[in-house]
Amino acid sequence: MADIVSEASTVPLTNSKKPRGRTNRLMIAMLALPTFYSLVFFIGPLIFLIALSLWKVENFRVVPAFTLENYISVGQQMFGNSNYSIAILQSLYVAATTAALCVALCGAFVLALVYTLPSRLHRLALLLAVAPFWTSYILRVFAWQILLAKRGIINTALSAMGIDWQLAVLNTQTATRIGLLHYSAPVIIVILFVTVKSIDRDLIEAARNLGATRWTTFRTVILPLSRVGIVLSFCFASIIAFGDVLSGSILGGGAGRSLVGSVPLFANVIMSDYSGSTNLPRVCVLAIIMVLILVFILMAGMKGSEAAQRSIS
Amino acid sequence: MAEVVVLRRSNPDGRPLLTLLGRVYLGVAFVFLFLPIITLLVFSFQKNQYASIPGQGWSLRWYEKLFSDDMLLSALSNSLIVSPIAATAASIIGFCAAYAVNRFVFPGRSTLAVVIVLPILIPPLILGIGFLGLLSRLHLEGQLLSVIIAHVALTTPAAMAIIQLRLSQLPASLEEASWNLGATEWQTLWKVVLPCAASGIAGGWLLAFTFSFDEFVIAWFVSGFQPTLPVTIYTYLAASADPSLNAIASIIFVFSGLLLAGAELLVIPMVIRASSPGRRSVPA
Amino acid sequence: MAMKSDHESDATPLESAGSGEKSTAGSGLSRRKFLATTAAAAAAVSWSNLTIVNKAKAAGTLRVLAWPGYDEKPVVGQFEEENGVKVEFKNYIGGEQMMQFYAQSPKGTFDAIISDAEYVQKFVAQNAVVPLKKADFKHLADFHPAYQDFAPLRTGDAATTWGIGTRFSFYGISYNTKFVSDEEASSWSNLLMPKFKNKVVMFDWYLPNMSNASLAVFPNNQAPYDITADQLGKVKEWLTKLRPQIVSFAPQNQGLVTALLSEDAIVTPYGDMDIEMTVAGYDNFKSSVPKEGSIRWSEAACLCADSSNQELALKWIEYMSRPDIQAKLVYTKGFKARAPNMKVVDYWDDDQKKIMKYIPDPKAPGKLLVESYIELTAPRGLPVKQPEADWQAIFNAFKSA
Repeated sequence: MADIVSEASTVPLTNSKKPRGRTNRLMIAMLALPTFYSLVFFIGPLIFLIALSLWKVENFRVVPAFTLENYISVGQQMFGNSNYSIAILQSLYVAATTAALCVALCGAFVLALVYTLPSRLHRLALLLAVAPFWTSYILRVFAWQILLAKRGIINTALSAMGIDWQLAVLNTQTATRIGLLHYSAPVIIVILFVTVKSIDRDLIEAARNLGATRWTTFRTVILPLSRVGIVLSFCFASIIAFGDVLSGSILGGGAGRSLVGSVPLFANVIMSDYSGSTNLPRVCVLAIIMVLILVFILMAGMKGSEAAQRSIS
Repeated sequence: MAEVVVLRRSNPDGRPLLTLLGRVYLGVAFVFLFLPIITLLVFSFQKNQYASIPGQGWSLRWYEKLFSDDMLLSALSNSLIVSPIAATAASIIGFCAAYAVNRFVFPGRSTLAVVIVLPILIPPLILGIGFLGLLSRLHLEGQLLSVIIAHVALTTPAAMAIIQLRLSQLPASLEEASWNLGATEWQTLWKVVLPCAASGIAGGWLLAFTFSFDEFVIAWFVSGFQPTLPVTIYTYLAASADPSLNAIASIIFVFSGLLLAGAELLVIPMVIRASSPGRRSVPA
Repeated sequence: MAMKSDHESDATPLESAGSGEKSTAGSGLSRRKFLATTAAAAAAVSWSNLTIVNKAKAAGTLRVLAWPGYDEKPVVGQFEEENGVKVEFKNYIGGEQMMQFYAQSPKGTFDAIISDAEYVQKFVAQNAVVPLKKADFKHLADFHPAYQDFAPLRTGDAATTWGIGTRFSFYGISYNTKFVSDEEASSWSNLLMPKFKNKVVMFDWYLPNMSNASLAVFPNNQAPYDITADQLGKVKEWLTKLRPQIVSFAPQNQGLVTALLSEDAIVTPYGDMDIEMTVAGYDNFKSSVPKEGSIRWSEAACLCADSSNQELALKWIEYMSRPDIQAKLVYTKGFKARAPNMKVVDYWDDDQKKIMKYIPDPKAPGKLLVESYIELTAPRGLPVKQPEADWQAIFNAFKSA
């Protein structure tokens, strides 16, 4: 089986990166624009963020300085008072579970789409899946709130149908996950669709003709070839979930219950610290912590997808 | 390809139960995806301003109100200017970066990949203040151009991710074959890579467009006195529920749906018929 | 422009689905042409308006940084007509957003600011606003006495003020009368009753909630934010007892409304929800000002020191003090609030007077209900003896409890 895979699978471009004795002009041309834009508009805000975290506030105004006071203050409250650590833990937990859920559910969606619908419908089905993305996220979150509320649409419908059971997820992190899932699903579905679609159908046919069951085919052909897409989706979904403010505050009720406890998400804590005091430098320290965590997730994702790609080729 | 499909169809082993299960799952998933959208649609036709359950009388008043609301309409037109331009610029930059990262080995390759993604990692609140500070000093603040600049930074990672995914799936042999046939790198890029990556670029553009069309925190800070649609929605929402928002969301949804459906049903078959007499799998 | 055709093919959503990966790649002439035309047309439309780069301020334009509401046509329209000018508003949500936006904008961007009264101090500290001569504002005489000489706006000189009050309201208890009696809503301590467990929705901001908590522990204190560390500790204890009662923290009105309507919550220490609900046709919501007192928020119009258009800005501030205008301002689609100018009643019908509580107080002859409430409430202020961050930290801990 492994032979078939490596033989017929597409070899990614990354394999042929060796210069071929041609000029590097193309490379320079392609790099110029992204590099210029990165330097001005990507690095700019980052430097601003770091610089600001070292400044101080005088007369409710941020003034240039070099002080570690903000770092010390945040550090002291990591485990006491504001207790940032538990909010970070809550965020990590919610983000990881949301991302796992998202990849699993969207993966199943894409498989069902590709392998149970006739191919002329693929495009339409995908369009429909992406369509919700076109409505304002904030309005969708409010719609979810009305749907999930105690006497909301879903529960009203349930009791109208004579079902005794009531949905009680609003103001818990479960509702946060629902909002986040709905937000990231279209993106993840697209990523996974492109991934699964690019798996050579002949390969699957070959596997099937050689007598592999559907499950074996999935496990030995589809899954390994989708690894890059899966790692990428997981990474993407967790970054969205970790950074998002709206679902946690509107659906999660600001400090929704989860296994970690009734604790706000880190993004929500940053938000309320920001609005609670005129001390931008200190908020920047919290933001830097957030960026570091997200960069870590991203690096892990990149390492993971490179490893996955290597294992294919 | 067509052969394969036929082969599968005639395959007696095609387990109907599994297919049925898959389709049921798709149905459930679509219900989940559309539930809030349908809710918005229904509530936009509700008479009551605050409705928690539908069915308390129907009315078109929110639509009437919407069309007399200059602020929402001008915000919509601002958004319709900002998002397409931002998405296009993001796709171009995203493509360049994705191609370079995918194709070449150069010092700082992985740094570039991380740096480009940075803007989406910084909380939008901080980024918004940062952008406003930066653009003010460059005298670029308070106009739609400022929103475009910020949104390009914000949406490039998404566009790049999709494009890179597509590029990484193209076999290296494709470019090699082109070179071997005597095409220069530029010609290869132009005539082979770009057309093959078109679907990825289009996907990246759409994603960038959507992110930009929905972003309100950074846009609030940099847009000055010309708010985009989500900025206006956000300021409306902070006060009290205004079902005109549901109305405008419904209109945008239905409109983009019709546009896509139109493209799907009319334009694509037309274009394909007009442009390619036979099915070509590799562009000429 | 080497990327031209790339850009063109981008401009269509056709390929989003990407299932025709291979066939779409065979793009023919006609499609190119079609796309190019579309893209060119779109570009022409957007550039011809020049809206992308237009930030220049037309002569006779007034620019105001304000909470939502002031920009609504019925409120500002008359001023624009009377003076033949345009007023442009930057709407903010929350004082901190206002401060940051002001700080990062170039000098002279704004002519006037609508600020929460306690934030005016922050602007004063930055020399961003200038004192106004009370004598210039003839409608000030019709203001409630508390707003003729409003403590947070005092300059130290009795003849001037940092701002002119435009609207205010109370953070009382709003409750669903199906579940909560007037008696139960008459005291903060009743919120600790078992029946309210998991039934309170709270506005997600430390300042009003902690000040109200301070009043719950130390009743009828005119400066509930001016407390010692010991007292703050007591406030924290009280909040800890309140925590199990809280079902959710809502970041804005909309969340409070949904929670109350869906009965996820039956009370909120936010006040004024009854006005929204009554206007929307629900008759089972009321608001009280508890007997221990509560917090009152106030907004004021201030003149920017850097304004190049101070004369017009002054005219607008004076316009905002008029009873006919305040009558509309406090009744916008955005916020419902109260007006400092007591003459607003001349512009309201009986229903409006009743909803807004500008009706006689049955318990205090000769007084309107709104006047009794003003006496019972303390203006919202910033923590005096501790830095804001300390209060915020307590609120964070309270939420995570």
